[in-house]
Amino acid sequence: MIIEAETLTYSYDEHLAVDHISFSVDKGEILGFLGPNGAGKTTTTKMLTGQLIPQEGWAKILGIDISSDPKKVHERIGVCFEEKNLYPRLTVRENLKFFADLFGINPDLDELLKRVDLTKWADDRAETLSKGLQQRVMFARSLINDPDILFLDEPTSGLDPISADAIRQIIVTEKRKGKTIFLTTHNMMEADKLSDRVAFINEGKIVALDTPENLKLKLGKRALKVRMRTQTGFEEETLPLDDPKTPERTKDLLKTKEVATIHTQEATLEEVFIQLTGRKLEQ
Amino acid sequence: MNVGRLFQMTKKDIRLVTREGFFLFMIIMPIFMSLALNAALGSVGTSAPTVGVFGESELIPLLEQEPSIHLVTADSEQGLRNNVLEGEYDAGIAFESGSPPRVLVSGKSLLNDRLTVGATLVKVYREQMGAENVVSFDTKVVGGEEYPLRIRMVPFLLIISAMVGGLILSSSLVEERELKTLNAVLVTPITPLEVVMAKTLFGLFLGLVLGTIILVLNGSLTGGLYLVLLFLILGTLFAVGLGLIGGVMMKNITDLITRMKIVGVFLWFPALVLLFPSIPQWLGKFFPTYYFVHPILAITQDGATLSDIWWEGVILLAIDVVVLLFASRVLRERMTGKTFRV
Ligand SMILES: Nc1ncnc2c1ncn2[C@@H]1O[C@H](COP(=O)(O)OP(=O)(O)OP(=O)(O)O)[C@@H](O)[C@H]1O
Ligand SMILES: [Mg+2]
Repeated sequence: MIIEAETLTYSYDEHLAVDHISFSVDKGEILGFLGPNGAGKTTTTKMLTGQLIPQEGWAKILGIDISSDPKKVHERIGVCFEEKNLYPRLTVRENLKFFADLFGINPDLDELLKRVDLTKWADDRAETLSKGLQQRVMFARSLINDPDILFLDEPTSGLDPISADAIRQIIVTEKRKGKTIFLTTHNMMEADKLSDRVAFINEGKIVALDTPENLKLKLGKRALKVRMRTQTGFEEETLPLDDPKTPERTKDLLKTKEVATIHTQEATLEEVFIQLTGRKLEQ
Repeated sequence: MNVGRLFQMTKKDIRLVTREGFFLFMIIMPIFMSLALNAALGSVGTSAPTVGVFGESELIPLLEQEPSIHLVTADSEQGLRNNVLEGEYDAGIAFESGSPPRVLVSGKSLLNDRLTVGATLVKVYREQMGAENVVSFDTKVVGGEEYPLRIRMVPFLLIISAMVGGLILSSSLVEERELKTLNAVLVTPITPLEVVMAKTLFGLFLGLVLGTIILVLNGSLTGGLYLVLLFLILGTLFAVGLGLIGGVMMKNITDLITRMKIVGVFLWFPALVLLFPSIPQWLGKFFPTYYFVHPILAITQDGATLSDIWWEGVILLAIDVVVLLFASRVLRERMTGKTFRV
């Protein structure tokens, strides 16, 4: 196990943000950490990366207890923060170079800049960049030391669809190289597409942890969506696929109504999440 | 402690400081003020002292040739006396046939100038009379012993220099906390202690360099070099300790600057006392920076040695220890278990 967490717990003053969560991540795996705002995703990431000391429980990263020997872990991980925290008065290149210097390494910055498509902005100060460009610098920074594990806290938030896809592509490439990725997001499409396994987190607790397929199979509802023309417009009816009455009802509708379209509807992680928690991922 | 990483941190901090107008202004301000004072009040320290003479003597042509003093002739003995009293002349020499020359030294003159005048006189006298002669002058200080305005401004500038060191340190720490860049730095191999060390040493270095520049520009860095440096280090350390406390405790730059204005008055008070000789001078002794600037004035202007001012050094050292202990305590308390661990 590359990441092991055991009953991790953290409260800010009175507020319990992370409530006894345990999980583990294998080498080369992408674990999607999915949950609504305030669920405790960032707090968990902070405990895993040694920025917060858990008040209960422990976490081992690469077999090393993060709270007792954080620096040994920091050598080998990359962290992409939720909040943008670049040096505003340093250029993109200087920002990256400084972090390379802290690791005592001399990576090919031009190559890295090219990977995240920032070559054009290499010598612009970070403060002059748009949010999306800054996010790309943040992501590039987390790759600077060619880490064994990437902790990515909403790496695609604020990006246009093309840039977001480019970042996702890099995440997949890193995974292929054998890197382990802890990916925090409240974008269920992203979690579904990228993750080997998904953990649902709500109010500080993990409510489900499985492969996206299993989650959808177990809890999602597959359905038939029938759309019919009426005098005034359209009418819709959703028929659960597992319901024994569905075939009869479909026949009925086809006979008696003017059916415009029939679609099968697959379960989404979103629906699974709503079923489990009674709340939506994105408000 | 990894020196390489400290150095990288400092290199980055220098870049950040030089790219922010406010920081640059703070660093340049004391130097600029010194230059402005020099322009307004004359650079006494760098030019030769003015010596007035009255009477007749074969020494006068010899003195005239001396480049280390600027010789002027007074029209009367009374005129000579008045000019010395007012500080117009740093010294005056009255020659009377039959008796040894009488030397009047202005109470307003600088120690450095007094030494120059004395040495020049002795040299010229020996050249004239032969080296084996014992030289004796009838020397008198005229007017109250008080530092010229220019020198009385030096404590202000010294306190500003030290404060700039402390302020750069605290704003750099506060900025990194406010922008959360510190979080990114601390998930790399650099330790929190190394981050604080790099910033503290940078602040200390900056304060010391500025302080030295101020002393040089004001012509004060003459005698007792090591002793002056010792007090400069101890005084700057005090300001840097305060900077560390501010850097840990203040939420953002605006807060920091608001508080600094209040602390600033407290720190400047002794300089104010020294600036106005009419204020009872003992009032300054209740303020920590007195033990920083007063000894430096005493060393550079009155030729004080360690035996005269050792107790002021001990007090300053004690203040430093208290401030630094407190700083290390807030560092531990405020930053443990949150984003920062030392
Ligand atoms: N520094 C803090 N002080 C007090 N409470 C905090 C602090 N940081 C987070 N919290 C609270 O802890 C809970 C969990 O926050 P956390 O940031 O871990 O959530 P999150 O899942 O990352 O949310 P988001 O999707 O908005 O990023 C929230 O209720 C939040 O209000
Ligand atoms: Mg978050």
